[in-house]
Amino acid sequence: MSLAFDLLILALALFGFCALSASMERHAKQVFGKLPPSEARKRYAIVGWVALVLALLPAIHAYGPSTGIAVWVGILAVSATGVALLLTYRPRSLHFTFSIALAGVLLTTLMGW
Amino acid sequence: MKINANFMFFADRNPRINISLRVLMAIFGSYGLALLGAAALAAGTLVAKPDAVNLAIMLSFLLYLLSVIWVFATATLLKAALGLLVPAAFFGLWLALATPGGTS
Amino acid sequence: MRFDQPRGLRQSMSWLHTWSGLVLGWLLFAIFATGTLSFFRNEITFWMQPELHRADKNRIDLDRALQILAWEAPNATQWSITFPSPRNPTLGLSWQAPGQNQGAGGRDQQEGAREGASREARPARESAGGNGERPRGEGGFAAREGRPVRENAGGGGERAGREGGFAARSREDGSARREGAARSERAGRPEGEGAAQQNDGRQQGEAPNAAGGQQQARAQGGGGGGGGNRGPRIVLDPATGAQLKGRETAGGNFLYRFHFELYGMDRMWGRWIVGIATMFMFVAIISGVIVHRNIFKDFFTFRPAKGKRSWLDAHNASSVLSLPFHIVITFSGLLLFGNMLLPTAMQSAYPDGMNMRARMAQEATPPSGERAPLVDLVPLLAIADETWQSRGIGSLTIINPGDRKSIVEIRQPMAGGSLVSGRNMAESLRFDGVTGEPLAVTQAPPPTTVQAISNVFIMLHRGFFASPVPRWLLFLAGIGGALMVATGLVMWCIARTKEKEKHRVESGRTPFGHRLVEVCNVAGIAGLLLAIGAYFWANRLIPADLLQRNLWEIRVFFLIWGASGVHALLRDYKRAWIEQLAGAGFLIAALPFLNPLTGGLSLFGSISLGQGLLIGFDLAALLIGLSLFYAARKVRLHVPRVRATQAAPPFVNLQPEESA
Repeated sequence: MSLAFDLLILALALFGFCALSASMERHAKQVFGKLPPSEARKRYAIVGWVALVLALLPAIHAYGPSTGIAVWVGILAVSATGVALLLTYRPRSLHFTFSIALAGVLLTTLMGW
Repeated sequence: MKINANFMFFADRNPRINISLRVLMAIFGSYGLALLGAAALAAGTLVAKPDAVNLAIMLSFLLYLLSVIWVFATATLLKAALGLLVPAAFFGLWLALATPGGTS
Repeated sequence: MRFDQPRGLRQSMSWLHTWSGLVLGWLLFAIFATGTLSFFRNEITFWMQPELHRADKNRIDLDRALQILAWEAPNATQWSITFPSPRNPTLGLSWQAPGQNQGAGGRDQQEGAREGASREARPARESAGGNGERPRGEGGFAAREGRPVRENAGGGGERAGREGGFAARSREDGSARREGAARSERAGRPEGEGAAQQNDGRQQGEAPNAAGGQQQARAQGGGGGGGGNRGPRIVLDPATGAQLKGRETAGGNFLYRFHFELYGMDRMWGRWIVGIATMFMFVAIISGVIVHRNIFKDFFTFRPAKGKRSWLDAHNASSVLSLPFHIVITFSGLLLFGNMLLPTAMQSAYPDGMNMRARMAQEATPPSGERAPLVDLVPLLAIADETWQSRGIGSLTIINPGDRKSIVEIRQPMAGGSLVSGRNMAESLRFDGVTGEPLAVTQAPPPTTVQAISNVFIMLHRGFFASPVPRWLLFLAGIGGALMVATGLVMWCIARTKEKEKHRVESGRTPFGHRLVEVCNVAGIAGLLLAIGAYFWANRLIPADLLQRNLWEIRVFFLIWGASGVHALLRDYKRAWIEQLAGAGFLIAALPFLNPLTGGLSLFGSISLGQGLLIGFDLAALLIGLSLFYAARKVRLHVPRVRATQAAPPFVNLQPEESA
């Protein structure tokens, strides 16, 4: 049961970091092949940050406030590492990861509801 | 005065002495400052005693960190030393005022 | 970098970062590595006692446990039963003999509670047998770092059917799942005088063994203070009630103790050294953050196969991605030693030297002397179940068993609520031991803000969590921290390759400083991992009944570590790395295979029996070992990058060289 929450946090974190990396010039070029316009990048950044902050909610809900923040930070670290490795070795797969993360968010939200 | 100024100049200019003095100041001088700060903060704060000790320790570690950074960041040895001595005097005064009888 | 010349903040901090990191870097790596493993020290200790691996935690024969307690310690002032948990599937029994200071026991428990983390896993929902009982989260009062106390069962004092001997182990405590039977317990003195004699004999036997125990406690890095923390004296298979005798092992506790006290020296020295190293670490981290130019832009940046640049990226990634944890772990490490490192705070606040630590008040409940049967425990446990639905039962303590003035205290798991509330905020329910009537419990006051902050830091450092998820995340962050230190140390050498080569060309040798760092790098990083692998191998290969085998496990650890230093001296840098990394990789990756060959459960066995913690250990060992192999391979295949300028033919400069 709490697994749904953990996966939701992870999915939101992955989603958020994918979006955030797309908002950065260097990585947007890796992912899209060309540099997206700055308004688009700004949108990605906002979406990314919002997703990361949203991930805090299931964390606190499942673990309480103090442990929840710790878990949140930890899962952020893990997912950031994952996204960083993907960007290094398989930048194109970020599209896929993004979709998977989104699907994961929806699925786990339903599961945990 | 003149001798001091010459020494300062000399020590500042000689890289070996400069680094050595800074290292000594950073490791031991900052530690002394942190000890003094811990004593002052623990004795003279408004919070309850057990909390005061905890808070004093937490803040003193930060004080240690900041003074280490200060010692290496400032341009001259004089400034580095003053960065340790002035707060030390401040905490010393605080401690003296906070402790009845003036002894730590 | 010259301090006598004008320089920016970044340059000063870069110098500071390099040197504060380098000087004690190898010690810091050891602290990080052993500390990270310590998050799972209970699991490690369990793994290192293969005799216990088959304990079946699916049922609990509470009657048998009480019978054994009545048999072993009919005159005890206090009995304790710690229930199985996902962190340890055995049932532990201990007691306090009469004459033992209950206050001291309380302090031991508090020490234990302070030192022994009861980190519990979320109870898994499984169907229990028959009774509709729900499985519990674990907990532990008096978390232990047991010294193995060996005791001979005395000459003629053997009782029929007794297996003899105590086996005190360090363990965590856990959930209870009761079997269906509900019989009223008899906790009086069933055997009459005979038992009393046996008990006295046992107590006598304890004294000489206390010395041995002390030694072993020191071997394990020492118990806390004089009394130390008592491990359970008897370990049972919960379902069958059979006594399990795990081998004496230094266990995960050696690694835990090592990481903040080191070993082989006076404890205060060890702590001071670690404390000083922690301050160096703190300075290194913060100066590193100051130096890092584009901490956000470079967040995801990792450029492989670019030599020094790649190492820098790896160093940055392992540091920045878990930066909050590194800062918290380091600062909380300082806080944990706060009073030792900065004693003036206590001295100035309490000039009379009063001990500010409030002791957990252990109600001194003297026995009345009248015998009375112990109440049936099952309904009491049911009440506790009802009250604490989510966190469940951690342990059961019976004060003055068999007496009219006995008290049954059922406690929640020690940790796992909020980090804010700190260490000893486990709820407990107390009942009269004869009538079963509930007694009032005083609740501890809520923490102040300062206490709360301090608690959060300290609880995070110690991994006091109810669920395994945060603990695994901390473990990963700890590995990140170890990588941070390791990549930094390696990078020091790589960044100075040019100077080293120039020196070699001129004088045929590597400069002394470089060589020192190279040797320390290999021995401190790969050598330590090799020693850890050897430690686990020693645990299995040293015969189980060898006296003081826990000392031997520790000796093997240090012997291999020392040998790795010699090896690093004799081999050149690259080869030393390859050989030691491969060796460490082999030793560690082979552990899941060594496990069943030396008396433990195989991975399939663990899966089928549901021994989660063994599965975790085996899989983690396999992954880590294979990663080390992979690293060794990368080193072996590494060809130094030839940059375009170097590839050009050397330009012969006919003019005299300018002085540098």
